[in-house]
Amino acid sequence: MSGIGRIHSIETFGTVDGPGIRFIVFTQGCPLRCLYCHNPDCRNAHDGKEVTVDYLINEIKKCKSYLRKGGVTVSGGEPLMQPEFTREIFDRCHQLGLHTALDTSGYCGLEIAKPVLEMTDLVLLDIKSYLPELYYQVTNVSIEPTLTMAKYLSDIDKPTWIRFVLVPHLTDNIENVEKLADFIATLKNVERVEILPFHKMGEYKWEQLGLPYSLKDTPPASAQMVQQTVDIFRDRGVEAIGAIAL
Amino acid sequence: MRALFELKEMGAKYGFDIGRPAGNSQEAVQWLYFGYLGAVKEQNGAAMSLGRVSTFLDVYFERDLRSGAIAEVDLQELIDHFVMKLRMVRFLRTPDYNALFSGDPTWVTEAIGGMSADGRTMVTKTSYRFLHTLSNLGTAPEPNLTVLWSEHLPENFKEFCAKVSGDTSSIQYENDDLMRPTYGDDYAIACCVSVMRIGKQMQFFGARVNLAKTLLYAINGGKDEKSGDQIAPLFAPITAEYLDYQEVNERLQQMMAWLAKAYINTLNVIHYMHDKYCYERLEMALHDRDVYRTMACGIAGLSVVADSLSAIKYAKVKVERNEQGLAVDYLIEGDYPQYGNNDDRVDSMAIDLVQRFMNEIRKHKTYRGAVPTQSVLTITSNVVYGKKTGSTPDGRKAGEPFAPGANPMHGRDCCGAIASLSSVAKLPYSDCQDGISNTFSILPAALGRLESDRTNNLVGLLDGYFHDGGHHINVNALDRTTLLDAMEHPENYPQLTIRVSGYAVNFIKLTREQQLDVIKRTFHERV
Repeated sequence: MSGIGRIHSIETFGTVDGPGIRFIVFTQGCPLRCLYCHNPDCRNAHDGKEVTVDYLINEIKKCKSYLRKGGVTVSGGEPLMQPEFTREIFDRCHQLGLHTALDTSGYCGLEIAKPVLEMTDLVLLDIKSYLPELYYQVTNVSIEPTLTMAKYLSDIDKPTWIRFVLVPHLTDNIENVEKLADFIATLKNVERVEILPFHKMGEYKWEQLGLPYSLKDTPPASAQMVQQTVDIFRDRGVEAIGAIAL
Repeated sequence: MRALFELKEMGAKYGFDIGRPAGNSQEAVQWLYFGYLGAVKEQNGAAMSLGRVSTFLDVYFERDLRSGAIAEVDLQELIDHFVMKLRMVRFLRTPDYNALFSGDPTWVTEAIGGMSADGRTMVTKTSYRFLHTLSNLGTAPEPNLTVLWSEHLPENFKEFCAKVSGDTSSIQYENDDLMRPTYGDDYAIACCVSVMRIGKQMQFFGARVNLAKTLLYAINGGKDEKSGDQIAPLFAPITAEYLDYQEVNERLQQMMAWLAKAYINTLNVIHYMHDKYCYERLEMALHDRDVYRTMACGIAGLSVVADSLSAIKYAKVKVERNEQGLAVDYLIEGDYPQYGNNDDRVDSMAIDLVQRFMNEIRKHKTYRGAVPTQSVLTITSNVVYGKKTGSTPDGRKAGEPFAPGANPMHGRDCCGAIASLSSVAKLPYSDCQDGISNTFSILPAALGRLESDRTNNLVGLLDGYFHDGGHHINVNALDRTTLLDAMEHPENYPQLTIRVSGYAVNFIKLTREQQLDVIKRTFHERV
């Protein structure tokens, strides 16, 4: 009996959400309310469309020739809001010999997350900031579950990539970045850190949804800023790369 | 025979006796160039392709390199100069021709790489030397560099090609694993995308018919939707308010049958007269006496028709008629599956259209018994044909361009690049042996974060697409901003080369409409 879940969309040629070419499932529903979200239409758990795991696996199979060096990523929204659904997708992917990656904010009870993590080959963990008040300001939720998960992943040596969105005048606070880098340096399972520059391309979605967008006047992060941030991580022996703004 | 003696005479004028075999690397390139030069002086076709010379020349080059007779830098210089000569060719053409095939293409197509029948790779150092000309001389549309891709190609070469594509957007790729079982390892690519056994096969070029307009004629009983003139024989038009799938398909079949007959008849006349008044003696003298001939037909607007049929079947399409009763516009109620999303419901319609038209063409007698073939390829005619075609039942409005080649229509592929490529890869090569052209454009940043990611992902894309049976792909890795800037300031981009369906072209030589069409096309990107 195939499981059911709600998704926002799929992307068949994912190249920036894990290694190689990846089939990406964007699940619907997210408990965070990040100020810079570029998929605000993913937030509401009742939007999107209902699909079965069978349907998704069928779509994945069609792309198999391309996924040999890549795999499947489940992102969103927040996939851990649908843990059984995500776990089943990953289980079926493994049966097909495909690598699995989970793109998550980490905002989930660890006991609920564990069954999914068992089936996950690579975790893409978004740590939105490190200073707790700033984290709350950015996401509207507590940082604690994310830190707990980050430490757990280190304890079990689960391959992890950390993602951090650099937003001028918001997350670029030097103490925020340095403390985040210090924290990550204590983890032994982090293969790389991706510094993602804030961009304005999701802005139109906020307008479409009629949501107030507080970052209207915030400029995109410059290449120079990204490089400076990358250097802060590298100075602590953390493998960091800066993404290019599209 | 006379032509061959004249070729010798031409060589002698430059001080060379090309009657004897070439003795070294320099002579090998020189003799080869004379063959090409003689043929191109006399030819009267659309294209003058080169062949699969890089591997052949490498035999001389390796021998001389090993004996110390020549140095690597000199070998590269020979190729650089040869390519310069090839880039200098110009054809005199009429203005109408230039609108249809913009940018002065000559299609000096060189097939690079591939595998030999015994399992060795045909990638040699000269394969690299040819690709190096793109950086040594700057990019240019000619020669039309075509990499014959196989899963078994050396990984280094695959990565190098991906890197060159990323840097120059000047290469096209074709599926050696698909063509080699039938055509062996001594074929090259003629014109844009067509397989040709070297010296043993030739093609009567037949360009392409407007399949989208054929559909409109089917709806309008043979009357042109723009002029109202009765062009096809009088058939009963469709009079229903909402289009019925079965009725449309039946009429379409009748119209395709009429068109195929007129098409082959026209090509027979053209090629008979061409051979009568302008037979290309030297080019044919350099072929075997008994050659395999093909009559190369083609179709434009495949995705428009596939989507139209899908809309008619899965949604409701209401016809808007003018005072003369001519269907001139269509209103779609509801959603329908669109070609380019790896959805078999509509992809099967595209396959079916290709097969049906091919079967119609096969019914007719051809000049010199040439075997009919078909391509799904448009060059830049997707813009020109689009201008002359009225609104279609898929939602496309009158005058709007078709998609190039076998591409899905702009903006209708919404599940990512692989879904788009997968739809195209399903088209049956067995019924499209003249080529199935796919143009793929992507923002470099959307290929991956690190340069190594971008190279690996492009290789992965090519491996996957060809594994699934795709025939051809043009690869453009470009920023839309660069193209927009080049449109406004062409003087800053004299050599900007971009691949369009069937060839590469200097972007600034395209008409503004064609440039806008290229920019408007799906540039795969993800936020």
